[in-house]
Amino acid sequence: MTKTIIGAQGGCGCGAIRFALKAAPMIVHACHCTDCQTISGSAFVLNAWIEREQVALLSGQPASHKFSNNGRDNRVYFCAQCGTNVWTEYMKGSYFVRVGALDDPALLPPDMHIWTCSKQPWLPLPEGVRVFEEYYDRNKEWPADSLAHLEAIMA
Amino acid sequence: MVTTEREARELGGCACGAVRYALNAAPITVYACHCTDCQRLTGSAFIVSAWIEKTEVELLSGTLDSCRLATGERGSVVHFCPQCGTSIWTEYSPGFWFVRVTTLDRQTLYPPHMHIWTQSKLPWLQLGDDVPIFETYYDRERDWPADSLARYHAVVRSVAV
Repeated sequence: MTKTIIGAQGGCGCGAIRFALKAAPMIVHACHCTDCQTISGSAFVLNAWIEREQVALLSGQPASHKFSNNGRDNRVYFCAQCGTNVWTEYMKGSYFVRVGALDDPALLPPDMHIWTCSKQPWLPLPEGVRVFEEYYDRNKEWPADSLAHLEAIMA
Repeated sequence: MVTTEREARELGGCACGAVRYALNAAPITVYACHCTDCQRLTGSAFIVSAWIEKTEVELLSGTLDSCRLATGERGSVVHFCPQCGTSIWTEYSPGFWFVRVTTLDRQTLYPPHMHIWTQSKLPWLQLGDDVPIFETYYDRERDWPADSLARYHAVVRSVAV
């Protein structure tokens, strides 16, 4: 599976921005928080958490906006021409890439659903999937190699 | 034509707060669209859109940038906050906005009446069996309630003049 993810391309709705993933993400979230619902226009957003250096911008230049919510800053990147969000920087050195913006969004199913305390009531979640009402303990839930990748960029 | 169920005023806006709007009626219909265009534009598995007359939508503050997208049979024009990139509504046919339901302050107010274009649904996603599911599009005359059809045809007649 990893082979198909490496090199997977994506882009915005108008085609100005194109990007490629140079590695598999550390983890994939379906985030049901109210902010992600607003920003996405969907019941949740699908974010692939990946090292910034593993995202190659092939064309275009995303605009960005800094949000300062509860003392935690994040910066959302979007196409200035069509508004499509491509990724958000929640932590220095890594991007949360919108899985839906990939040419083949089926490549990256979510590893877990988070902030389901604000999940849309009508939406069922798949059986057997990891579900967290809020956030979770990374050390407990992430594979060792993903933790190593994150530690490397936080160092 | 105006029924009591229609009467509503719901506020919404973009993530940075620059754009605020009001819906002065309940939507004609609400759907979850699983087409590949909607997946790309949302960054998610589907979009939740409320189909409503433009005359029932009021921009209260901010400005929206727009972009005509070449994809799709007839094309569409997406409208978004230029400051933060939140998309608010899209025009797919004259006279109507397709408002993104989760940009409403009351985000759970309007659940989808149907799922469409599920032929490209993400494989891991499960849907309930409480609303109709269409692999592609659907037959409006067959699948919409009479009052929704009346509202739809009233707009179509007005934009055709």
